Amino acid sequence: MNLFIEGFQQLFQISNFIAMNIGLLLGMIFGAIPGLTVILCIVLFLPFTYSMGAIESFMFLLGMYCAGSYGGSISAILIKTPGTPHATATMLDGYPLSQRGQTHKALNMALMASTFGGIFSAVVLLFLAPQVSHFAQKMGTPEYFLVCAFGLTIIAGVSGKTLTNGIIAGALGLFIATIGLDPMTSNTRFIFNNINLYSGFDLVICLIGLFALSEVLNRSKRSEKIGKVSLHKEDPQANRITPGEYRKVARPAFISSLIGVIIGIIPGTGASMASFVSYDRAKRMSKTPEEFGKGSLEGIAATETANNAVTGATLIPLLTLGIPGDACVAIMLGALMINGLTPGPKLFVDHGVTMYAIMLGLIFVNLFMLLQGKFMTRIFAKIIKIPIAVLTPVIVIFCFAGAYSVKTSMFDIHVALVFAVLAYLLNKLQFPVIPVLLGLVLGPITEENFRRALILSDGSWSIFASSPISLGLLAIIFLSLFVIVRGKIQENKKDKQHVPT
Amino acid sequence: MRKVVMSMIVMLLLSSGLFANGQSEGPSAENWPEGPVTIICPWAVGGVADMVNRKAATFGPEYLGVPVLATNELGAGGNVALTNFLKNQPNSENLIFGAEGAFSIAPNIDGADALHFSYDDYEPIINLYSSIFVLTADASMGITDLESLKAYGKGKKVKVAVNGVASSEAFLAMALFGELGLDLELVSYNGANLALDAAAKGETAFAISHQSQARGSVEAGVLNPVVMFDEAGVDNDIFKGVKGVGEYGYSGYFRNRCFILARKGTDPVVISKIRDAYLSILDEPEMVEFYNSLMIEVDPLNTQLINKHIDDVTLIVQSNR
Repeated sequence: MNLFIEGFQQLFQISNFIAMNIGLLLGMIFGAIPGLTVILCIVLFLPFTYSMGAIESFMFLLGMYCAGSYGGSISAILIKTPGTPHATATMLDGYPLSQRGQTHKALNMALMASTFGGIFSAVVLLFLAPQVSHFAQKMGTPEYFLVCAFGLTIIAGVSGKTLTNGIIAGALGLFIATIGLDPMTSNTRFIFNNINLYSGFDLVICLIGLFALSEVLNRSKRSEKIGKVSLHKEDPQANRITPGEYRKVARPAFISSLIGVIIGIIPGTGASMASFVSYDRAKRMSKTPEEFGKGSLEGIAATETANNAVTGATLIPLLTLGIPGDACVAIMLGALMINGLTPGPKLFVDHGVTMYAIMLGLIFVNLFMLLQGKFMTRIFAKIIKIPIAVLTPVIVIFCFAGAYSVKTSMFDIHVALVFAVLAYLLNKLQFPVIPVLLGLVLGPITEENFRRALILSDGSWSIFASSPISLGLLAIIFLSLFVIVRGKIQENKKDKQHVPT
Repeated sequence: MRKVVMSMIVMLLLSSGLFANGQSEGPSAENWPEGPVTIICPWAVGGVADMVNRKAATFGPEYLGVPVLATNELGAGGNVALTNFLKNQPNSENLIFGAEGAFSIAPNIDGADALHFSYDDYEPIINLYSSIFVLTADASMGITDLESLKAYGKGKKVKVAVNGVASSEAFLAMALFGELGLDLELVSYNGANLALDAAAKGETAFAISHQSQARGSVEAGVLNPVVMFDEAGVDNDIFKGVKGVGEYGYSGYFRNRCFILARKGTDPVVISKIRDAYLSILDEPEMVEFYNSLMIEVDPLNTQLINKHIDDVTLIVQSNR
């Protein structure tokens, strides 16, 4: 209790709150602009933390991390261009809702859900970190693989009308993910002696091509007037989230927060997987699944709570075990070490006050994100008033800048363009694009954990059923597959009944 | 369709115009540096090399008279940045970090055909730091030295977690276990922290990592240090008393070193300016303290000693690949 109070005292310095709010603003802007990423934001502003103390620098970085996670949804909702990979799931419902003239509602729901997910995970971090960490320690390579395999079943949920096309698109993503070095043997695969293909394709670059640039190509095809403003009539009444709607999203938001926390503690999985898994679960559990993909608030709430619930959860293995779950958190690990804090089991013993200050700070980061977001939403919503002739080239320039910034390489800009053409062709041939992204996200971690598990077990497949957690995950996977197959059979029966005789 | 193709062409032209790279030509040796010096770290932001680069860069104006910009250029474990660096001319104000991974390991494993550079394309200036790797074991096994490791590993396949099977850690494991006559199975993890975690929860028996990475688990008693991959042990609080591989009479060890490189043909006067500046930076008390917190050592090797390091590691890699 003393640590808690002292942590509170340490946190309540004006410099911590200034750093937090500057971080939030930067993160929101970088997350919202297609092409610019949270990681780029953190990298650019990292040197400022070198002159800060541990708490101040962590508040600054956490501000960017959390707001960046939310910010990705803004462009996804407004211009159908996700600012982050995990915002792709938000785009599925956010953009259609915006198209119906309910932009403010979509943005507000994303903000509220992000805040809820963020605070949920911060509370878990604050009160249950040791227990969650203990649970995380019970999960190993085989369990990680099973979580990834379960993630792959989501492809069915985002395949649109044709499951086969979705599976083919997912397989394409999985194939593209194999390009580069073999994760287990370091042998090269499909690199054609090109050094730029050595480490495969960066997910951000693929995202820029698959969604942002391909949308530009689609726009050019639609022959919209050069001065057209993509503004839909906004009805202030329809843009208010009603108490009934809040009640409706409460359950998916809570479940998605749990999913976000569970996936967040698994290193390497990240917010994208949490978003898609939550979206899929919310759709399956919804009383109105037919609304998903057409502007469902439940869909937005599920994805946004999940991806922000990941932010606090990734800090659990970082602070308790010294394991960074993603690239952003890896940078935070460096920030801790610079301040003489060694992440690991003894961190809470040696630096308890600082740790409590950071964990309490995460709650305030999310609260200030809500306040800043409320203000910024009004400004961001004006983006849709910009004529397409102005907006499109700006998006393209940001996309190129973003692609270039990942490795300061022209090669990556060309890769983004290739992915844009790929997405354009897939759309034209009526193959969904999102399964490609899922394949790219899940492919490397699924393969890596699968093969590593078999190395650990000397080739025995029994390793995948060797613990209660594994057995539980296997049961969930089989249940999901059963539901998908049964749903497909019922759909086919319905289609046959509707065929005119 | 025509509009789509036109859009693509416009985008290509736009991208080429916006981000076209020019060659960086260097000034004469006497006037060097004429502008800010850029030091490229070809590895991840937040890693040890990146942190050292950024910290050292803050002393740039004091010792080089110009700002020093610490940047990162990622891809292919540093090989993309090292390839792109060849666009620079001698005496360029752009410098880059290098390590044994690019010059001793990468040319000797699968994928070497894709490398478009060699060690001879660069001029090593100064080694910035050395890091000694440590072999740790799941504490519940009670293995604390090479004798107990030998006894444990007799007649069984010993699984060691490493950060990639083409990493320095992997070759150190192969060299040591080869000399011990033990059957080794490397298990590749995506990061040293995950490799350590694997050993801590008993997925593998052992892990190899930098000292700073293992520190937390060793302090908590989850992992036991077994041996340091150096001639002798180290003199710090955490790993004091742990013997070096060399003390057991084995030769399969090397340190991880990170050195500054200039483009081949850079004037010795320029090299000397950079070396002197960095020798002064490394002497800064703030820098010394920073190194201690990261558990790395100031080890300002000159060109000849860096060359020897590359040759020594190459031999170990070639005999274990």
